[in-house]
Amino acid sequence: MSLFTPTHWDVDDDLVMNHLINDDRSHGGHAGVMPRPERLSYGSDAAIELGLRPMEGIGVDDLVQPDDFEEVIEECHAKKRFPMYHMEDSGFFDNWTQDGLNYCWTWAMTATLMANRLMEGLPPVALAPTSLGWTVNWRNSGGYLTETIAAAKSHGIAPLSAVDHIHSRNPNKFDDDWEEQALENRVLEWWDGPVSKDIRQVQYMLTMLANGKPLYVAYNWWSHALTNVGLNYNPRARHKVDVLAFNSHGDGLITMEGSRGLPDEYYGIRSTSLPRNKG
Amino acid sequence: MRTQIISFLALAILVASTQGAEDITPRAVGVGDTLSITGPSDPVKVSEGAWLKIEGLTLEEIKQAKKANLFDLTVFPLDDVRVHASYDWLNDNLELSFKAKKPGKYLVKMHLVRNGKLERAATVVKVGGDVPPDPIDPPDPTDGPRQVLFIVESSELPSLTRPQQGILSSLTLRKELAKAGHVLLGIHDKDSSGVDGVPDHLKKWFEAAGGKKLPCLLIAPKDGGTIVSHPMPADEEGFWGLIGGKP
Repeated sequence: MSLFTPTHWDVDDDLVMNHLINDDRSHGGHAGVMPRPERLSYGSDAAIELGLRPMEGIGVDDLVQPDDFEEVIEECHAKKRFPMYHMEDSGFFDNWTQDGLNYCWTWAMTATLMANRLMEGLPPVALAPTSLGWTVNWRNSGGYLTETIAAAKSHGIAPLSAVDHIHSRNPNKFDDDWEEQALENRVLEWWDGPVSKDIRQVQYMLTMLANGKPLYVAYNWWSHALTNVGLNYNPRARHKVDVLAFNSHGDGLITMEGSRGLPDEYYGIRSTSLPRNKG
Repeated sequence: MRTQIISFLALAILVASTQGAEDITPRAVGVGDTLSITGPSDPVKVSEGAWLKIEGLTLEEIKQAKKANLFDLTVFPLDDVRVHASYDWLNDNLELSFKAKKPGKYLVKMHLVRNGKLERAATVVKVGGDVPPDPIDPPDPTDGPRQVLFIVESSELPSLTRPQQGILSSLTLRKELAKAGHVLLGIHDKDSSGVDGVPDHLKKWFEAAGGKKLPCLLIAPKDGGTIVSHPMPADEEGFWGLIGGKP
């Protein structure tokens, strides 16, 4: 099965192919994420029922304007407003790796929720990505972001302390009450980003990031899910930005340049469950 | 008996005089008129009201002149001055109530065209004494380290100003807050909820934000106590002002 679906070839795409070939071993040779299902398409009733609120509900005047990209991005770095800074400061994301499992869809979801907790001013919490393994029957399999979103809403993600180790797919070795513990860490509602692969998409992404919202994202060409955690201004880039993403291959923060940096799905958390204890 | 305030209130056409700043001596009253404005002979105190009597002019005449745009009332300097016109029907007098917030000399001048002739009247009101302090918001009922929590409406975050968004997302600010001994409890969407509703330790905070415009900044003593709600500060300076000062 192909790791990627080539669509539009940029000058950067040869580099992309080389990266993917070299990356094949860490992926285990299987697709990490599948494209968003049609029935849960942007703005559909099913998507809204899932808690996905279209970002197009944001007034156009409230979006960061292209002329302000450079200034806003510079300020977000200078004042450490982007989620990437909060994540680094917490120390909870060191050596963050799915380690060969085809679980990027849950590693990215888990990183996004953990980062969002930090942005909410809550104490850092380590969560267990494999606690969502039930959605694929505990197989070593790729997944859909939308299905993961549904699972994070209904069941939540267990704390890392509730599982035997971070790569375990054996729930029999988890704490007896791991499911109840997972309910403490649910995502109730999301911003759903419209995909247009142009400056307008950058506006939506930057507006979210500048408001402290890490983005749960998928790249169809890579069959991979990550967390977008910041942007760099790049006047030479087609859409004026390079995307900063937190990756689950042990390489941490990566820079995605060119058109490949704009994701095919992107979601920002609007509300989460509140922890029972002060922490 | 003082009067009803009538609708012709000349405040509507008060303009700042362009007269030279140094000399505010009233000019001589125009020929053929008996128009006059008489004020208190002794200085009045800051923010103390004074009555100025207008004579030689009837209510009907002033109405007609105003309607024809032939009437002007000027106060110089105008900053922090309040002038209110009224008609004392019992004594058939036109009056001005005058109040200034700063000490100094104030020229009150009236121009009127009546029967084709320009008439003027003026007086100087002397205001003396210390400037009373501006009223200030009552301070939070505590000193020392605080707990801080924001309740927001996530859908409206993009409509906040950039400085306000910065307050909510800046790691640098949070570090400064912690360094000063304060505790950020959280930034929560109003619809956030726990397994059994709003957790006990946050209930009072959410209640304090009830009915308030969002985002709402809630502050309480670090060791517990009254939770005080504030509108979202305009910027970091405003935020630190509410917390008790930047370290």
